[in-house]
Amino acid sequence: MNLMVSLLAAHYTSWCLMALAQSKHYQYHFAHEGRVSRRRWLRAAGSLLALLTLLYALWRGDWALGAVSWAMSWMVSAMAWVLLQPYRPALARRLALPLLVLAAVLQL
Amino acid sequence: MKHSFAPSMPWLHTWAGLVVGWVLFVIFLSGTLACFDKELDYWMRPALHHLPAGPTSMDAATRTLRAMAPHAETLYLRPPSARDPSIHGFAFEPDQPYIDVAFNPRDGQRIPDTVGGTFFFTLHYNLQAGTIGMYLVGLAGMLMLMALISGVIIHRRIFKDIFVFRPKIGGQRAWLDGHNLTGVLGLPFHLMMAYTGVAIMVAIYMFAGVQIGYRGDTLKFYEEMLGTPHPVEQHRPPSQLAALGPVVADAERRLGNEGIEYVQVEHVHDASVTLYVLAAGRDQIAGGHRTLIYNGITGAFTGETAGPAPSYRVYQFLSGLHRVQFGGTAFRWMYFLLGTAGCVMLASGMQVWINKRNKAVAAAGLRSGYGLVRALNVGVVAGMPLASIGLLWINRLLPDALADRTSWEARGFCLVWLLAALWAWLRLRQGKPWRDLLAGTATLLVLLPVLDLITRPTSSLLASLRDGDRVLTTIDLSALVLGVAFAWLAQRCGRAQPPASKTARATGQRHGGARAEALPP
Repeated sequence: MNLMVSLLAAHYTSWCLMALAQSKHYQYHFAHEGRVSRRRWLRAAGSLLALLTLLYALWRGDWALGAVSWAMSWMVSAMAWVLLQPYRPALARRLALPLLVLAAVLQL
Repeated sequence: MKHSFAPSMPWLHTWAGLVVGWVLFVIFLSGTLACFDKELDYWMRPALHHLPAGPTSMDAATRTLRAMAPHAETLYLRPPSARDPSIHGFAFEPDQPYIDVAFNPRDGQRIPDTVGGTFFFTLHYNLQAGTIGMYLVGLAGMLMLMALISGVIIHRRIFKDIFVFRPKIGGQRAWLDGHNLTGVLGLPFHLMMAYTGVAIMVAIYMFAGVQIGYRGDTLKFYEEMLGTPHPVEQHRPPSQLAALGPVVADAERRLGNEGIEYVQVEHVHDASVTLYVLAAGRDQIAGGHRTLIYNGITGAFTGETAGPAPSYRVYQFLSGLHRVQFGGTAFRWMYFLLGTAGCVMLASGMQVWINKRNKAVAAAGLRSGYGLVRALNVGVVAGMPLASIGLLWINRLLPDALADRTSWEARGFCLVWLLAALWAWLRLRQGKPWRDLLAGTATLLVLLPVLDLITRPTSSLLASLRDGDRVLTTIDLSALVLGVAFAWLAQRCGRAQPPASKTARATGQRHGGARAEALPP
């Protein structure tokens, strides 16, 4: 259960970063398109986080269960981000960091 | 139909989706609910709540089952597990209905019957319609695979618009966003479920292999696949039947973490009687693969079977991935949420179909194909949730002693659904059938704990909170949360809507042709 919650939380952050890496979403949140280099960093960070969580899920225990946990939580978190974004954009964005911290704390 | 690949994809997506859309919705919703089949089963059997502590009496349950099915050759008994405290018994007698009953684990007596959570599971894989239903589900599954793949092909901005959802724009745009969002973000899950779902039934859908390779001897096929030897009959009755209690205790010790799925008593009436104990293997996706063998007369351990063939193990992995009996509750919640997303994908897809044809729908009136689609949309998409929560109500309202209780529950479910569909059809011309049915569902969901308090005070939310019964508490609280969600949906459907054609014009009707500037305001 702990692993799934951590994965959900970390994926949320990862999706948030990857969404902000798209100019139209960046503009929607910050009213300007943002520098290309900055958006590139956001995408890299989001992808790296997804990769790290995958490696962690595979390493933590049974690889098959880890892979399934990772994939299922990946999809659920994506929907959570996309559903929250239009209704409470600021909250959706500000949740990203605390959730990443929570994900890490739960695994300590 | 169009004559080249690309233009024919929207056509394929539209029709593969629409033709089986309602059947798929039934399959999706019942499958989503069946994620928690054992938990719902437990909720629907108040006799199992507040069981006194004590030993499990497998032998008393076996005696009860034997009395119920005196001519059955094989008996199956499932000992209590973390998810299901009852002993379950299964038996099949020639020309008799299949026996599937629950026993009190303390005294082995039958507890009042219910269709239980298994109802949704059966609805999921054969629509409660036997072999024909199974084929229909398979056909729907294959069409779903086609709709998914063609959907990806026609969604031109699949990556650019992956995070786009504009509910505030309303109308067709919002419906299409919702359809894309649940379809695209849940795509790996939907593809996996559609594929494994069809693959589970492969021996039934593609029976030529068994017919040719085994000359139609399915028993031999399964014997080889599972690696379980069939005892040779001795044509004389057994002196006695070994006590199951010690056998189960011994098997539990040998299997350790793997746990027991069920005990199979083979050749009950013959001296060759043999006990097979199958491992549950809940920590593996494919489930357990070990089967312990015991002598059915003495109860002595005689060894293990060779185990399933590697190909069968692959099959078990695919089927396990679909049935989610592995891991803990967290996995079932993930499947539940993604299954819900699948229901939304289907419902919004069918709504997009109607919205796109607004003018034609208005011109054709209710006595037309369009009217039928609209009526089916409300009747199925809003009617089935109402019937499902209705089933839980019926379970609590029917008296325990009622003969043939399970049939009455199933009839009640169908009746609620029929009435809901009829109401939807009658109110389509004037009124808001969506709001009516969704509000009805919300009411039944929110009042479920109240009903419990009146009919079964010992199983109510208050009692389960006090006793720390996690399963009952979660089901009642989930009903409250879902009730609020349905109330919100009903309220949204109840709002006055702008004239349909205006909405369609204002938001554009191109399929997949999202406009970049139309992000949420």
